[in-house]
Parts: sequence; C-alpha cells; structure tokens
Amino acid sequence: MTEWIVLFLAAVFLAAAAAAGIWVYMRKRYIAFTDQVCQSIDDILAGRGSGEFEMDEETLLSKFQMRLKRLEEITVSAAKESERQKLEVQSVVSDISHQLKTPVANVVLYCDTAMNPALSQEERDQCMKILKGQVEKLEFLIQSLIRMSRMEQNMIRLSPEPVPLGEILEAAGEAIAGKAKAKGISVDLECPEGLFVYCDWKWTLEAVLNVLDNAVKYSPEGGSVSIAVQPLEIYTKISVKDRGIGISPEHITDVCRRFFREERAGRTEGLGIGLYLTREILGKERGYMKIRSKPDEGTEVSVYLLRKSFGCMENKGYK
Amino acid sequence: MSIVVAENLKKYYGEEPNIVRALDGVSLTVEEGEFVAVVGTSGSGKSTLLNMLGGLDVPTSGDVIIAGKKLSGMDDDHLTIFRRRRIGFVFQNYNLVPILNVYENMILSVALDGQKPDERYMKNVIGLLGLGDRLNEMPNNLSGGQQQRVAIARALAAQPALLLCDEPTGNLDSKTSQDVLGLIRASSSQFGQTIIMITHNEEIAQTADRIIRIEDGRITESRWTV
Repeated sequence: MTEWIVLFLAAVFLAAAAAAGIWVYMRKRYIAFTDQVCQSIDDILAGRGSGEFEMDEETLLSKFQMRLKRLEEITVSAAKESERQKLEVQSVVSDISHQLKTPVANVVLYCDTAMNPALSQEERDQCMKILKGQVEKLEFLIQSLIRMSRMEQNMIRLSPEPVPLGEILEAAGEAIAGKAKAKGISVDLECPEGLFVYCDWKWTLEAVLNVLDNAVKYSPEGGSVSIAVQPLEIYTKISVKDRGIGISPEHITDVCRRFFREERAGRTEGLGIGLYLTREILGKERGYMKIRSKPDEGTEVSVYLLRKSFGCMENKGYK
Repeated sequence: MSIVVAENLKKYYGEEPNIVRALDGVSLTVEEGEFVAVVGTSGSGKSTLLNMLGGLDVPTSGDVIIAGKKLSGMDDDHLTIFRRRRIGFVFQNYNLVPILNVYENMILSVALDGQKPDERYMKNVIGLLGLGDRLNEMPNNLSGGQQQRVAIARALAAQPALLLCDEPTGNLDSKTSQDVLGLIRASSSQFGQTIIMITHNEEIAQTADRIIRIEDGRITESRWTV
C-alpha cells in the first residue's frame, strides 16, 4: 500500500517538475519573443527602419514584423502625402497667378488708355469693349479656379446617390443648347429610359457638361455631336462623340492635365481645366473616363459611372 | 518610399551570336499609390519585366527591390512567402481554383499564410468589385468578367504592397473589359493600392496615372497623365 502512495507521490512530483520545466521554458521563449517585438518597435521608433526584419519566415515574429512594417509604411506614406499636398497647393497657386497675369495686364493697359482725355469717344468705346471682354475672361477664370482648387483640396464632398441618368443628360443638353445653336451644331441624345447611375447630381452634371462643351467648342460650324449611353454590368458608359478637330495621338494622355492645351487649339477659347476637372470628379465617384480621337476626324470621350453603390463608398482610408 | 525599384535589369536568353535580349537595361521607380501602365507590342519585354518585378523569374543581372527588400538574394522558400504577403497578381487567364468557391478563392493566399482575413477590409473589396451575391458560387458558373473580378479580389485580399496585372482584360470582350478596367482603377484610389498593369492597348493604358512604354527590352518613354 505505502509503495503505491510513494509511487503516486513520485508521479505527482515528476509531473509538477515537468510542468514547471515547461513553464520556465515557455516563459523564456515568451520573454525572448517580446524582447524581439520591443526591439522591432524600437528600431522603427529610432528611425532605423525595418531593414533587419525577417519578413518572409513562417514564424510568429516574422508575421508580426510584417504587420509592423506595414504600419511603418502607412505612417511614412501619410507624412509623404501631406508633403505632396503642400507642394500641390504651391503649384496651384503659381499656376493661378500665371493664368491671371495676362488678363490683368491687359485690364491695366486698357484702363490707362481709356483714361487718356485726348481719346475720341469712338476710341474710348473700343477700349471699353476690350476691357469688358478681359474682365469677363477674368471672371470666368476666377470661377473655374475656385471650383478647381476647392475640388483639389477636398473641400468639396460629393454625395453620390442613385440618380436618373436621363435627367442629367437632358439638363446637360439644355445647358449647351444655346452655344450649339449659335454654331449650328445639332446635339443628339440617346438614352434608354429608367437608367440610374450612382453619382452626385450637381458635380456629374458639371463633368458631363465639360465634355459636351469641348465637343461643341472643337466642332466645325454646322457639325453634329451625339451622346450615347450603354449600360455595362458595373458601370454605365456615356459617350460623347464629335466630328471636330480631334486630338493628336501624342497628346491624348495630356489633355486631362491641368492647364494643358494643345497648340492646335490655341485659337479656341479655353483654359485647360474642363477635362481635368471631369477626371477629378469621376475619380471621386469611383468612375473613370477614356478618350478616343483622331486628328481632323473627331473625338469620342467616354465617361463611366457606377450603376449602383456596391457599398464601396463607405469606410475609406484603407491602405 | 518607393515601393518598386528596378536597377538596370537585364534578361538574356541563349548565347552569342543568337542571344535574345528580352530586357536590356531597364531601370524604373514606382512610388506608393501610383497606377502605372506598361505598354508595348508583344515581344517587347513587358511580360518579362512584370515577371522580374514579381519575383517569378530571375534577371540575368540587375536588382529588383520591392518595399525595401532585395529579391535577388532570396531563396525560393522565402521568395514564396514574400510574394504571398506583399505582391498580388492578376493574370490574363484568371487562374482560379475550380474546386473552391468564390470566397474561398479570394482568401486563399491569406489562409495559406495561416492568417485570418480582415473581415471589414474584405467586405469593402467584395463590395467594390460587385461580388456580394456571388460568394458561394463556383468559379465555373461565373462569366469571364466575374472570374477576373474574383481574381482581383484575391490579389487584394492580403493587402499587398504591390498589385501586378498582366493583360488583365486580355481574355475579355470589350464590354466586360471596361468594367474590369474601371474596377482596377477604382481599387487603386479606394485602397491607395500601388498597381503596375501590363497591356498592349493604348486606350486601356490611358486610364493609368503614368504610362511606361517599352520596346525591344528598353524603356522608350515614361510620362504622367495627371
């Protein structure tokens, strides 16, 4: 009997010793692991970066370090992004001042001329007419710049919602009708009934209008512009086609840049803001645009808008 | 930080005098969040370049550095893990696993890594790609465009530092191409994802922020569209 008790106690003692052994061992490993984790964090804090990290091992530490590296990347890129935005604002300011220079110089010049008392009434009227033109140009310029800079600095929040596409296109057609009529251009609109797109009414109208405005502007007198709509599975495509002067192939990717204008377009009024703004607006609505063009044959600008939200506009800010 | 740095990449096949220079001294840098299109005719070396950047092939000389990590020094095992965690691939022919359903396909690389998928993030990806009501379907029951969207979701699942797309719309008709293209563009802006996309189609390239043209294994042009 006592033999059994001794044996039992020995077994218990052994088990306890083994457990204690394992505990000590695990504890050691655990401390080693946390040390390494702390070391990794210290590396990043001290700006030594994650160069020493072993991110492609099948170990816990490696997985942890990989996450840590991602965190580091996100922080670094956020800092870079804010730096980039600062530069962007600077370049907008310099672009704006550049754009304002000519009309302001003209206004000053003609103002001086108009104030000359020796001027005949006819000459003065002439001056005033030019002045009015320049001031109008300035007004248009400032309006565009305000919209653009607000868009760029994320001061505008687009609120996309399901919108009947037909209504937007009709509104755009009406807005351009006067200009088109003056040039004898016919605008055809073909849109299936009952089609909805997920976008911000006001800003999408602006985006479409910019494209339409270009089509009319760069079409010859008596030309035609057609708007066609094609629903795809995810997007709805709106294409605006003209038979105008077209875009040369080497500049097809430049036309969406801010203030870019092709030399051939020099005689037509414009600032190089329209398509830039359109692209920005569409980007914020998770849409996009594509241009197909041949010089002297015409241009087709396709605008793609989401058909429904697919729940993707929420929870922004993921890496 | 530059996500991708390639330094004087060369890939030669064969020997003199019949040597083929698939890549002949290509250097490029891609910044975080950029959407770059690489265009070129077939045989220009663009796919070779993509394979080098993704660590699928080894250059004859030169270095590829992805997210600060040099690929050339790594052995196969490490490279595999690195790819799984840091690089997403979208190929022309979807490459979905036919016996797994849509959701299982999407989280495959995350599961292989012994991790749990980030549910909130996955919900976003699935929503963006319009796959919410297809999660339990088998790949064979989907259209080409839908399969490619699943492949994009799979590539995004591990939240990779870099997404590489090799002719992602190559097998699709023009209608579905426009959907897939838009969604690649949208994931770039929604998730701040860095994307390099290979295509021979100029119109598709237009949607990118930067276009790199490659001819006879060399970069002939690199321009921004914004």
